[in-house]
Amino acid sequence: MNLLRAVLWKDLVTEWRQRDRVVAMAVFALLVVVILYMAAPPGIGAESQQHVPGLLWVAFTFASILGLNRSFALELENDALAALSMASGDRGFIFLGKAIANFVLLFGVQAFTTGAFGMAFGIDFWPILHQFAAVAALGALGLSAVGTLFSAMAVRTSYREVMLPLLMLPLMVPVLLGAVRATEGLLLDGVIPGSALQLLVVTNAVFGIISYLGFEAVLDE
Amino acid sequence: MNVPSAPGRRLTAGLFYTVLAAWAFAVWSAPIDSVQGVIQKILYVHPPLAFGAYLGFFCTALFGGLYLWKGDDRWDRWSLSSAEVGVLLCTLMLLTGPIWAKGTWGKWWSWDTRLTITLLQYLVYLAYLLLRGFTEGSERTARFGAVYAIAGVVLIPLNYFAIEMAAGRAIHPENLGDGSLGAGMGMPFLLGIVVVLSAFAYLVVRRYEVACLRDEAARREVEATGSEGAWAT
Amino acid sequence: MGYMIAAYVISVGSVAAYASYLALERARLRKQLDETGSDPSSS
Repeated sequence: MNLLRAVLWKDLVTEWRQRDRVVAMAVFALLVVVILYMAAPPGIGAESQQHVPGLLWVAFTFASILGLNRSFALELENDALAALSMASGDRGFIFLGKAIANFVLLFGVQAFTTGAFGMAFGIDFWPILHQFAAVAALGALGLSAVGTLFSAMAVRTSYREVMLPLLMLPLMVPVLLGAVRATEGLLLDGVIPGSALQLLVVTNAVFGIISYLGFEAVLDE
Repeated sequence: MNVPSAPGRRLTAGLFYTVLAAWAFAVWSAPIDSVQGVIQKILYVHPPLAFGAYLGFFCTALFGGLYLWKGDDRWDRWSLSSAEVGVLLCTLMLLTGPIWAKGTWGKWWSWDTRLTITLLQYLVYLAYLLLRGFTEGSERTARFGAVYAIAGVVLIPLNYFAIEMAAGRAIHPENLGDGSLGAGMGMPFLLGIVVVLSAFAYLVVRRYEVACLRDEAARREVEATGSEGAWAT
Repeated sequence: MGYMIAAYVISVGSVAAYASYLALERARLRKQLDETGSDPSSS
């Protein structure tokens, strides 16, 4: 438990001091929005509502990959990964600390990106803010859990930055489908469809357990 | 050290060639479908390939799990071999499917539920092979591969649920074999499944042998040069 | 007819090609091991 707190605290404090990862993620998310707008103009206001959920989650996903790539790269540079894996105590706590730190960063970036989206496409997120925050958090949870596991793997391969999206994206399909459908329901009808919520919860639970258990085998002895 | 001969090479080879001959004859003499014509004979190769591909993915995860549990290199070699043969069979399924679809529905591809799931699963196992190729150190490669293979196989039911919910579209017939096959078509179809499964066993066993030989060659290279970082299989 | 034949040729051909690749690779590795190894494989 202390290990969890230590890892989480270290990651968040490092991030707070440097702020490079969060800023890079947010700028990248904005860039994705702009590029997507140029490539496929979704319109403004009501007409954009059908396309915005998909665009929003594409931006979240790409931004999360950018941030996750740095999650373990920093440890490798400082040679802290070896120390981490030798740390006494349950390695599951290292995973949880890392995953929660990634989740916090991603959630912050999501809040920023959503605000920018709302302004850019004339969509009012205020009335559905709480529900949307819940959907965003559930999606971010799935992305961070699987992403933390795979970034610990990708950082040990020869093409780190290339490997993470290749590993992560095909597995993220159920999370993304659930999140996009839930966002769609919220924007169009003001309610989260039950099946989408169910899918998000089930997927998060399954991937959370897999990532937690798998992390044990991913850190070197 | 002796290079171990994979168990059952003669057996799987014999089985494969025998069933292959029976299958070829059965497909040749199978009746021609009254609606679709001769193109319907793709039935005797396309769905059986799907069985083989999914068996390959399942075995990759199963052997990966056994490797994590027991820590024996042999399980990792079986896991890698299943993945490679599974990817081969899946490639062939994804090639024969569109050929059939083009001939009967007039288009190569449709985002049908099973098609989408299979394509995603195919991408997962391509990523698995890439991951193994890019990871240094055979022990680490084995661990990473096993974890990824297990995550990949868990994806199948989740995807099924997700895609049914989000974009459920089915053009594949349900409950194949429940009397939906015409007279005289059951036998070649069944033989098709047996031939693909025996081809799977045969190829996996041969691939396993190559994996053993590669590991042995890498081991000797390390011994000779004393250098680290040998990674094979 | 053409479609059906194409499907069978691709499938059977690919499996045969892969099997021959494995056979060649096996023979090559055996030869290499026999030449370099102090303790050649017996089976």
